[in-house]
Amino acid sequence: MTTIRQLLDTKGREVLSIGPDDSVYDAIRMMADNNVGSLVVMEGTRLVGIFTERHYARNVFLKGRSSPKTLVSDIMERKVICTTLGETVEECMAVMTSRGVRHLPVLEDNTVVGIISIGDLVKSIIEGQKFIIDQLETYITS
Amino acid sequence: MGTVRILLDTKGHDILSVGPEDSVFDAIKLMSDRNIGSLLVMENSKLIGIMSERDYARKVILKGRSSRETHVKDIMSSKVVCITPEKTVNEAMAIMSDKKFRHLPVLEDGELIGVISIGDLVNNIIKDQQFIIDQLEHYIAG
Repeated sequence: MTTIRQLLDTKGREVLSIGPDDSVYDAIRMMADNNVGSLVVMEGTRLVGIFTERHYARNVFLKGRSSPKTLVSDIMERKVICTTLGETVEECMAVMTSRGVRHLPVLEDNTVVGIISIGDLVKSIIEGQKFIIDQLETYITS
Repeated sequence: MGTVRILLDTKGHDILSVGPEDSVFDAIKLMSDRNIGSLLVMENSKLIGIMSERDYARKVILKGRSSRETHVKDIMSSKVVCITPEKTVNEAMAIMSDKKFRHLPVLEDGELIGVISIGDLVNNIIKDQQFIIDQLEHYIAG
């Protein structure tokens, strides 16, 4: 059972963030430049929201807004669903599936120490699943 | 190991598509209305591309285009990676992980029979993994 701590040890703890008063244009520029699908929104060291490609696609032009004039705080999700280092990959998959999200910031003592995407979980589960099955099959044949 | 065919039988074979000449605005409106992250681009019943929220976030405003005047064909990905129904869910996950896609159209004898998303796979793999482990543990105990 892989924990989020183990996953982050492999993936790294880099978290890309933006401020609530930055423009949506700057946010999608940063996401594209770094090839990621989400940014955490930080006010100082405090997590105040999450901003994803989905928020951009659904809440700017379709709601009559424009990218350069709209602020991140206007369309970000303020109720951020997070995980912790001790949770497992399976628990996070269940959370993502039931809540319909693809990114979970990782908190330790109320500080953001990483972020995991559905892609990170899939990568980990392929490896993790193979390992469990190999182990059990070895036990059976020995 | 579950196959893509079994997954599609559970999920359904619905395919949402747009035409290459449709506006990007209509495409993101349809994605938002149906709560999905990508659309297949079809021309005369032939699959010619795929357009995702990511394509929208990266190739419209950042490239100096506008949502109403840009056509789907201008921002879609023309190289569509597909999968066949007899492949396993694990193989589908490995392809998505490797290519960094979240959606794979499913082709059978060149015919489009559905689309699977990374969310569909995650849903399925939780159940499938539990099933395999239960089976092996039962075998050991017996």
